[in-house]
Formats: sequence, structure tokens, C-alpha cells
Amino acid sequence: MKVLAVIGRGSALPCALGLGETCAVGLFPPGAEAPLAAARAAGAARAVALWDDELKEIDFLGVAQVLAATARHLGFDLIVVGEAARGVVGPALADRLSLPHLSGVTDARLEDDKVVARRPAAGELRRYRAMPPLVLSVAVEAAGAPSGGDGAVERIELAAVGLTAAELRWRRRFLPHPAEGPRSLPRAFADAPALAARLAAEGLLPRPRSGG
Amino acid sequence: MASVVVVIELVADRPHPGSLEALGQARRIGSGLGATVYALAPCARAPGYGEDDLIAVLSRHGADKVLLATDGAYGGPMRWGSHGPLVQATCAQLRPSLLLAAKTPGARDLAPRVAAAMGAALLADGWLDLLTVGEGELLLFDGSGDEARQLDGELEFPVVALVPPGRYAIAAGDDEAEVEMVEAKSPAPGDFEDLGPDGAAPPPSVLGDGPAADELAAAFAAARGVGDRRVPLALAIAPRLEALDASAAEVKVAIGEGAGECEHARYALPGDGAAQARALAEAVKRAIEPKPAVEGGKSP
Repeated sequence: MKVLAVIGRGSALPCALGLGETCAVGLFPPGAEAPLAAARAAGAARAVALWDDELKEIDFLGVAQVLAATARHLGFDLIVVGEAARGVVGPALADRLSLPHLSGVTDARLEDDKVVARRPAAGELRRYRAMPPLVLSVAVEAAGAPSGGDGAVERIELAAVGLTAAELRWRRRFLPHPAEGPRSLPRAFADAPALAARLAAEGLLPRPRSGG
Repeated sequence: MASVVVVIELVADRPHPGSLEALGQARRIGSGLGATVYALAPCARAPGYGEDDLIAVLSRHGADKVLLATDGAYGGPMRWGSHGPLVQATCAQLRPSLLLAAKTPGARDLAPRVAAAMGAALLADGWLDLLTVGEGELLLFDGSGDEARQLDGELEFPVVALVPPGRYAIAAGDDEAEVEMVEAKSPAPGDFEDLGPDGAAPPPSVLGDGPAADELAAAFAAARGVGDRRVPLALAIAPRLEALDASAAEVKVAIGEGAGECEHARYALPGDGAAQARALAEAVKRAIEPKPAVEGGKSP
């Protein structure tokens, strides 16, 4: 199984390494490839960086467009994306590639050439199964210490994956610009039963035990 | 602006509170800007028309129109594969200026992909507020404080926003919404097969010291301390509130002195930390204790 591990704010490298021969790929400018070098050192068979200054000013869909073109260029059976707090790139990447996807994955393995993944939902873990090619967005795990490998990172340009900066430029207007935003304060509850009721209504409490 | 669509996620056949809050904010924006507010509700079974049933609840909480789709596939946890094609088809037909969803794990799976298909802008941590002075300017932010980014509120292109539960208040009214049945959509080709439950979700993590923290952890059968894996829920008891910053939990709760000012938390239980933790432990135990069957074989 040829696995592409997308390295960004989050890294799902441990999950990817458990699924097959892994190529780590990421959008990093020259001189900033340390996360990819670490991925090589941690066991990825290959690490590839791509960058264009146009990438500084594009939104999630522009990023997904570049990653999709890169994935097609490199070839893959399975793509694993580390899901940081925002978790938006994996689903968008799957859309650009017209592939099934599943996010919030806690673990995944191969069973008879199919991918079986688990994700939490409403107080329980659920299992899902599909045939590759597909995209998984994986809950980020703590980075382990590098263990061997030479850390070499290849670099490719936009043109190599069939894109131009001009094609990406249209997504600039969709990217919000930095600005002081509202302050996020928690919603306060008057008492513990009210909070417990809210957590239950959101499906966050363990399910009631079966009784007579 | 023509329309605002709100995706209604169901938990045990009831609307997620965050979905109702997103609907409330959609109502306030829609009323200010003259837009129709649609509540899109994928259901496993057709709901009733009683006062506490889904249609009446969505009407009271701000929907001009309730779009109902029924299919057994919508009975599982919301995700792109099962629910996404319906949302995408609805958006292709209505072409909303705004699509809102409560920021839950299900919506985080679904909404970015719908946004990609629409070519929309995406607010992953959305603030949508209407200034009522002058012509009514729509303010759109992604993120909070000095880490926020602002999007042009002119809505020259569609915007998809994930709204954290607890951010906005619900709306309240007594107007009746129109109801329209919409066609359920098949899962996307090659979609994941749902193999069903496989054990309990990772338990919450409880961050705190002393007997009260022990009681709260025991009530949840929870782990003490911060784990590396994303857990659904983390609770911190003062003076350990800052530990929530390092937690990767989807939902964070601050308990005790200073809880109301804890910017890392979604919910707060202010007051005496130990007393509130014990009270929450009792409330959780009552919530998850076995429910006796009543006449007719249904639990209350």
C-alpha cells in the first residue's frame, strides 16, 4: 500500500507508517523543511516539499488544490492527513480528488486490502471500512523521537504537479485577513445539573447503562 | 442576500443544542438582512408534528422553512459519507449565501467538503454578527482575539461557517415554519461502510488535584491528566484551568474560580471548584444511571 502522509500543523505519520510504505509530503518554503526531515528520520521512505510564494495567501481550498495535484503527481493508494485544531484540509483534499474520506480517525489498519478505521461518535467508537483509494484525517498524535533515516527531503515546484501560481491566485479573496476578533469566553452554567444536561444533550456523557 | 441554510444535527433524535444555537444566529442575521432561513434536517424516521417534535422545535427556534429528508442512513452519526450528499445537493439547489453548522465532529467531517464543492469561503471557528447600526453590516471572523482573521461581509461569494456550540443564544418565537420533504441522497460512491460500535469512546480527561477531582474522574470513569490522543471532553478544576490549553479535547470545561474567564474553555462552572466538581460528579452519575422502563416499554 502506497501511503501519502500530509505533514502540516499536525502529523499523522505514526498512523501512516502502520499502513504501508509512506511518502511524507508538505507545503514548506526552502529552509523550513524540518518537519519533513523529521518524517524521513522517523521512517518515511521519501519526503517531498513543495512551495510557491503564492501559497502564503490562499485559503484551505487553494491548499487542497495544490495537495491534490501533488498527490496525483506522486501517486498513492491512501492519503493520511494530520488533523490539527481546524481539520479542514483533509475533507477538501478528498473533494478535489473525488475520493471517500473519514475524519476524526483515532486508529486505522488494513484488513484484506480494505482500510478499517475507528472514530469516536456520540460516546462510542465506531468502525468504518472502505476500499482504497481514500483519504483519512487522523487525530494528531504526539511526535516521537526520530529513529534513523537520513532526513533527506526532495523539493518540487508547482509546475511539476501541473499548476501555475496564476491558477491559485483566485483563492486569495476567500482568505480572511488578520484582524482583532471577538474574545472567546465560555458559556457559564448556573449549576452542575444544568451543565450535565448540556453535556448529555451533546452526546458527550457515557450512555446510560441498560437497566430494568 | 437570498438564503441562509443551517444543518441540523440530531443526537438521539433530538436536535443538537449547538444546531439550535446556529439556527438562532441564522435567524438574527436573516431577519436583519432579509434572508430566508432554512433548517435542513436529515432524519432516520419522519418526525411527528407535536409541540415537542422536531418540526415544532425548529419553527420555534427560528426556521422559516424546515427541509426534511428521511432515510435510515441518517440514523448513524453525522458525517460526509452518509449526510454530505444531501447537504451538497440542497446547497446546489438553493445556492445559499451562508451555510451554518454547529462545530461538532460530524460537522467538521462534512462542512469543509461541502464548502470545497461550493467553492465557498470557510470559517472553521466562525463568528457571524450583524451590526444593527446603519445599514446592518455583517461581521465575519474566523478564530478569536488576536489570532482571528476577518472576511469581507459583503457575501459576494458563499460562506460556510462552523459555529462552536455555546457561542450564541437560541432564538425564540412562535411563528410556524413551512415544511418541505426533500429527497434523501445516496451515499457517495465508494463511501465507508459503517460497521457499527466498537467499544467506548476515549473517556474524558479530568485535570485537577484532590478528592473532588477523584470523584469527578470516577463519575466519568475518566482518565486523570492530559493524554496525547484527542479525547471528546476535558474538564479542569481550578487552579489547573490553564492545563486546558494543552488539551486536544474537542470540548473543554473549566470548573471553579476564574472559570468564567477561561478562554480555552467552551463551558464554565464558576464557584467553589471542589464543591462544583462534586456536584457535577453527582449530576453525571444521575444522568448515566439506568433508567427504569415505564408503561409501554419506553424509558422516560
